[in-house]
Amino acid sequence: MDFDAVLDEIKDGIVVLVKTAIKTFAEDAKADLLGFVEDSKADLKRYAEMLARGDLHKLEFEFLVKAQVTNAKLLALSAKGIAKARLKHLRDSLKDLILRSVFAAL
Amino acid sequence: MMRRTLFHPIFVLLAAALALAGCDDYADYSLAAYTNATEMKAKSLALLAKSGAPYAVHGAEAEAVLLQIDVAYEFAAGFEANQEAADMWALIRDPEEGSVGGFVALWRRDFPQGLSPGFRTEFERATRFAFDRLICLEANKREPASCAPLP
Repeated sequence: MDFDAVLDEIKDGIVVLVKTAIKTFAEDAKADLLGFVEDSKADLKRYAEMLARGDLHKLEFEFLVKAQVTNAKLLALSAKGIAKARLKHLRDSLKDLILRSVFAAL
Repeated sequence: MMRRTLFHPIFVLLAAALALAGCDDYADYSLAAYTNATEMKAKSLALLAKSGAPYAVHGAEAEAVLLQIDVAYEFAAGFEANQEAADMWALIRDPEEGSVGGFVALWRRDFPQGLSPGFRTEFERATRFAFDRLICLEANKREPASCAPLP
């Protein structure tokens, strides 16, 4: 059994797995956050215009603003949970990579 | 010939694999949890669509939706290492927050004759976002998935 080859295979595999996982998560999280900020700005502007036109009652307007705050909390919680879930997938992939490489070399 | 001791590379690698398996865990994917999120999204949006009418007409339905959200919260909170999903359900049901629980309280307390069309349209967008984030979290427990808006 060539352990150097096994270790090289694992090292290469780890680099690819970690790079892919981090890049994908960072891109998704950034897109989600920027999308939320842009949408929120447009939403708040529209709410204000609707309030000025009389299309929204003041209490309705206040509730919609509160909904934006709640959604920001929901976004943060989901991002945290998704990070944990993806870390678990990465860990499982690393474990599979090690076991597959070792048993393939035996 | 290399003698296989406990420090032999193969045992070190297997130990590493075992150590990875024992790392802090996170809740597994649950079809029931995913279904709770998709069903409550649909039911909440259906309730919202009726909120132009007097609360008295749809009060029983509103209470039923809140009860189902309570059930979904209890289900999520019952899983180990599932804090984020449970906290999200808690926000969605909280009458002091700007989600479904708060919406029902607003309708019942401040607009018993019904909410305006403008409010219903705008809050529908916010409600879709709230549930889509929860649905995306549940989907990511199965496999990595982006959170593109769902239809």
